[in-house]
Amino acid sequence: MVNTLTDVERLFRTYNTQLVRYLTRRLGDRDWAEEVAQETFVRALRQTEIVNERAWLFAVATNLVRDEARRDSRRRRHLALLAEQERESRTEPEPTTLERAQEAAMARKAVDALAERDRLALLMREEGLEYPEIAEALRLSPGSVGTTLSRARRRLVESYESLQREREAREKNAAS
Amino acid sequence: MPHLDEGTIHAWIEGALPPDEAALVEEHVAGCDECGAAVAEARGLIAAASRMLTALDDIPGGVIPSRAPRPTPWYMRRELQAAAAVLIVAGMTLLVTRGGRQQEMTASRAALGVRSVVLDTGVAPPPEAAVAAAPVGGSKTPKRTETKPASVTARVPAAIEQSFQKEIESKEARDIAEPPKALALAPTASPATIGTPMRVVSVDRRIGRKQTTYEISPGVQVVLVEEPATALSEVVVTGTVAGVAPTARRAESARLQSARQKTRDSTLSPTVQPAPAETQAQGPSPAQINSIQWTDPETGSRYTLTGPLTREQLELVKARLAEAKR
Repeated sequence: MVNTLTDVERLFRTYNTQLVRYLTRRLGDRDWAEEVAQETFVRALRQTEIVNERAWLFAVATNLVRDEARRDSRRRRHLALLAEQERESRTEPEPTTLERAQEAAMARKAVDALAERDRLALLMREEGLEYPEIAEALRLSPGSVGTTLSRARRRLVESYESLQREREAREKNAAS
Repeated sequence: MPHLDEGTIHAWIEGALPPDEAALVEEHVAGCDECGAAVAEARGLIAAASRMLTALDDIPGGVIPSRAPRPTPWYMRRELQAAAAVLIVAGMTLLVTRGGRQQEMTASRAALGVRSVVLDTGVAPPPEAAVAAAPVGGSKTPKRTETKPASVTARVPAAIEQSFQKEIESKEARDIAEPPKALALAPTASPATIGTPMRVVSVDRRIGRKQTTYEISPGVQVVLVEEPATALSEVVVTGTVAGVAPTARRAESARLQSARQKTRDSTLSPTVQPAPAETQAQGPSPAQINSIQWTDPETGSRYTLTGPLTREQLELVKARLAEAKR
C-alpha cells in the first residue's frame, strides 16, 4: 500500500533524486523534470497498490512526460529553438566552461537522436533500475532489455563520436 | 554454443542474467576470443554511454538547467532558508503576542486616534509597532527603544509589519463600522475622535516634579508626571478602579504596593498616581484608571502616566508623547 502520506514521503525520499535526474536528462529541463516528478508522487498517493515501486514511479513519470510532450510539443519546439539561438549568441566566459558546454550539447544531441524506448531504457538503467524493472516500466519483455540497452549504448556512442568528428572538422576549417 | 549476441553480453556484464545462463556465458567468453573482444567493447560502451549521460547534467548556467553548476535558487539557499525561518518564527511570535490583545488594541487605537499621530507627524513607522515590540505592561526594565519607537520598529521586518498593518487596518475598519463592546465601555473615545491631536490642558511645576495634563481626545485626559530620579526604576503598572469605595481602593493599592515591593528595588517607593478628579468625572461608566511608569534612560527622569485608559492605551499615549517630543 502506498496510499498514505508517510509511504509517499518515503518514496519521495528514496527516489526523488533519481527520478528528477532521469527526467532532467530526458527533458533537458530541470524545472520541468521536478514538476513531472512531483506529479508522479502525487499519483502515487492516489494509487492503492504498487508492487514494484521504482518501476512504477519511472513508468508513470515516463508516461507523464509522453502525455505532456504530446500536448506541448509545438510550444516546446519553439522554446527549444529560442534556447538554441540564445545559446549560440551567448559567449562563455571560460574555455573550460565552453568545452564542457560543447560536450553537454553534443551529449544532448546524441541522446535526442535515440529512439524513445532506447533512450528511456538507458536513462532508467543509469538511475540503477534493474532489468526486470525497466521491462515493467516500459512494458518490454524481460529478455529484450539487454538488447535494447546494448543498442541504445552503441547508437549513443556512435552519434556522439560522429558529432565530435564534425566539430573537429569545423574547428580545423575555422583555424585554416 | 554460438557467439554471444550484444544484448546478452550487456546483460551478463550487468549481472542481469539468471545464474545458470551467466555460467554458460562465462564459460564461452573464456574460450572465445571474438566474444571476449565483444565483452571488452561492451564494457567500453557502457562506460562511455554513462559518461555522456552524466555530461547532460553539466551545462553551466545554461538554458538547459543542470544540477551541479546551476546556481542554487535563492529560496533554496540554506542561509536564506534559515533567515526565513527566523522571520516566520518572529512573525508568529508577534502574531501570538498581538493576537490576544487584538480586540483591546483595536479599541484603544480607535479611542486614541493613533492614526492621527501617523498623519500629524508624517513620521514612519507608526507607534503601534513600538507598542507591539515593547514589553507592554510588563515589569521589565525599560529599554531605550521604548522612548524611541523608531529603533524598535526598525527591528521588525518590514513585510511582517506591513501585513500586520493591513490586518489591523481592515479590522479597524470593521470595528469602526461596528463598535465592539470595548468601545462601548469607553464612550468618550468615539470613532469621531480619531484624528484629534493631543492637547496640553495644564502644566503644573513643583519642586523636582512636573505634572502635565493632556487631552488625548475630547473628554479623555491623562496626566504625565515627570520626576528627576537618581536610580533606575522599573516599569510599574498600577491600577485603581473608579467607583470602588475609597477604602477598598486603598486596600487594593496597598496590596499592589506590597506585591511590588517584592519584585523591585525597595528604595524606590512606587507611586500610585491619583487620577485627577475631572478625569474621573468624565467617564459615565466606571472607567478604570491605570498608570504606567517608566524611566528615560538618557535623563534618568521617571515618568508616570495616569488616565482612564487601559495599560495598552496608555502605552500608545506614551508612544505618542515620545513621538511628539522628537
